[in-house]
Amino acid sequence: MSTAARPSAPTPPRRERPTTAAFRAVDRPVKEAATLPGWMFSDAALYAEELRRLFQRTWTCVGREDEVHDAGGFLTVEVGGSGVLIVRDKEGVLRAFHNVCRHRGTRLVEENCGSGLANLQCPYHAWTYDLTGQLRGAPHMAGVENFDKRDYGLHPIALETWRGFLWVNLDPNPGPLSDHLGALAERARPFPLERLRKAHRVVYEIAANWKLVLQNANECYHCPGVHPQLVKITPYTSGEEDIHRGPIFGGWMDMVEGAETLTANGKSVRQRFPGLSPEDLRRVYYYVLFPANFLAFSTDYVTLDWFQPLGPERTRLVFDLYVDRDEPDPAEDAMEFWETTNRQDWHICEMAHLGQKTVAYDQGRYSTEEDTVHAIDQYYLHQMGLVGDSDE
Amino acid sequence: MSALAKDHKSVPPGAPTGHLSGVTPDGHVYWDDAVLRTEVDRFFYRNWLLVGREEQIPKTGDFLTRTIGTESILLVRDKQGQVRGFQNVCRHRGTQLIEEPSGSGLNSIVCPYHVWTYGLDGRLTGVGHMASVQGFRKEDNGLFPVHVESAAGFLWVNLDPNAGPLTAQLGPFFDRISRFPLAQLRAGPTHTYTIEANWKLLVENYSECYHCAPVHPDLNRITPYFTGDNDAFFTEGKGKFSGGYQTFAGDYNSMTMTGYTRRPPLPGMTEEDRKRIYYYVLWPNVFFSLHPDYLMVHKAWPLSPSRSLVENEFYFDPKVMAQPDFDPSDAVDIWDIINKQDWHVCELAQKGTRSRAWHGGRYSEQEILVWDFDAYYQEQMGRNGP
Repeated sequence: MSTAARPSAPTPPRRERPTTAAFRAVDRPVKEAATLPGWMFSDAALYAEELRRLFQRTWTCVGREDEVHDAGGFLTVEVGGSGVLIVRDKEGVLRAFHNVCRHRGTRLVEENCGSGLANLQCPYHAWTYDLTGQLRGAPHMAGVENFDKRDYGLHPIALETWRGFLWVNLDPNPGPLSDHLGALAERARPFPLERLRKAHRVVYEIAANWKLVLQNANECYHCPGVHPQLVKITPYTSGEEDIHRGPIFGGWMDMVEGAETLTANGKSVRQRFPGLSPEDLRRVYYYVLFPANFLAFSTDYVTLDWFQPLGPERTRLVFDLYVDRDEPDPAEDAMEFWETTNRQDWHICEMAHLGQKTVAYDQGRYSTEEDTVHAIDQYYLHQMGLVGDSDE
Repeated sequence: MSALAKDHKSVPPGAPTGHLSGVTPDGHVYWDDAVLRTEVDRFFYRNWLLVGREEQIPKTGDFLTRTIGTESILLVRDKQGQVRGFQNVCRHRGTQLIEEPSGSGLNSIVCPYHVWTYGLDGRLTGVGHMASVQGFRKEDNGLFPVHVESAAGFLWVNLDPNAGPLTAQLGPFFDRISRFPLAQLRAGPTHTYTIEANWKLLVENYSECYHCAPVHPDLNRITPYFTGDNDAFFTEGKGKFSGGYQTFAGDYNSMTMTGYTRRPPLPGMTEEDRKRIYYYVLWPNVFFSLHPDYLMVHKAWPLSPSRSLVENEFYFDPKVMAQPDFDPSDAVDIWDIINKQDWHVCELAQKGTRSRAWHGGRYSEQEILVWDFDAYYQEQMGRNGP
């Protein structure tokens, strides 16, 4: 019960950008820097701009290529608040479209996934598209002026694959996926990504702003208090950052002597990935792919987080755990370990979210264990055009 | 569900053809908070709105309250038997006066906070500790009145202090239905739905049967989508309503689970009327569907840009209702099915219009009334509109 004076000021409204000074206070060397102002974690207008500037303009990993295995197989996902349909056409080509009818804007496909799609028919007025997105059938449009079916195909979305992972980018003029992956492609080379199969998927909903979840994934300052089981295998001060060039940030943590993989007891019951160096066999690698994904490599499994903001105060997180496709072990131990760790994290993120909203909280300071969070926050402010040279 | 001409060539002479060249509104009008605020201000606070029935408050002291946008409205029958409308708010510190949705036996209206007391005519009759307050006169501090009118048995309110008469908004519509004694009808069951879709998507959905073949197999069997005609348009400027009728296939005689009913037609139904269902949209939010043997009313209220409340009411001839074997479920049940089919595609439309890819599409030949509503809507939203 401190009686010390509180920092002043409930959040001013953001429209006037009155907080330029606060942003500049973040964009300084980490030891001098202040953290992002609390209002940025619940503001609806800021959130809308984040969707537009970040999530709708970046490569997002939405799953695995083999989830859409055969012609007519499909997957629907939400990226940046917009519906996306991924389908394999009759020639076997993977395609992505906005999941919206060109007529009155109706969502076309509701199911999360499926197979055997011969064409795409809108459930409202039965406009029909083929799997290449061409409009084939549109009843009662013959007498409509200047209407040519060829002009009303589904809106395409950029799609690329990387070693079995499926990526989409809603930007109509996206840069190549390889630019997004940057140095991560080389770092991930020893891991057999094209051979992975999904052992587990857990979908979480977290009552916290997406940035808090992302920040949480990028520091271990909280680990001693929050994750006692994790620090037994990977002490929180261990390891190093090796990529800090946006959109990729991350590095590794070192396992304690005798540990083979990151699970509760550190023992691997699986074949460890062949071809890993002695160094790789002692490490767990973690990389954020700003803003929507987080990849982690242990010696015998890989995890992928996919952050889906549902609103300024709600985040869905899809957590996938992958093992080698020939690995018979179901990786229950690894999943159990991450289920525990994840729930510890979401709880503390929800507590953090509540605190950001109080009138008393404005900006805090970064510890020396949080330089990656600081780097990400700076990158975020630049991408949003809130400090320095905007890219827009 | 309104009827649409078989093809555009059979659009009646003089009817609008804007749908053949027009483009639908941009997606943001279905989810933008600022757009909804403008709509509520321009449409819901400045038009006559259908809010109830005379017989809901038959006696002195009977009342009902309704929420419209951010406003709460109190309707009460006064000691002279007149229905009075007030803003449901105390003049003192702005407290909401009555919480209950409806009730009876009101002698006066007492604020629950500091017990300021108003008569059923709205006059402030009792206040404590105001005697020495400077410039305060009870006669200046009655409840804020709201215009109320009655037509066809329905109660209508208008929150605009300078509102014109109800007939200026809907006169030609009442002329069309005057041959039916609708004030005599009585309410059967009501269904209430909360729908994750913008209120305009519901109006647009009601305004066309282009979707009926894929979405409503039962309805489309009884009244095929290409039957009937449209003969009322918002954009014609002859009253704020639009619509037309659809025609029964074969010997079907009502919209029921079977397509048949043994209920006699309502009084006033001609031979021609008995082959039809009349469908009208009353600006901005009422769907008025007159069947041979019953009247159905939908009221669509925006709760947020992406959520709406729909009240679906059914009215029957009280003589028929008095019969021991009266069972409205054949009508109510098929409309519950049709409603849910519609709400489902409207919810999909809500999701789709949120897509950053979609910025409006084209109307088919079958969507003249959708175009008509959208065109009138955009005109009403004006320069500051979406």
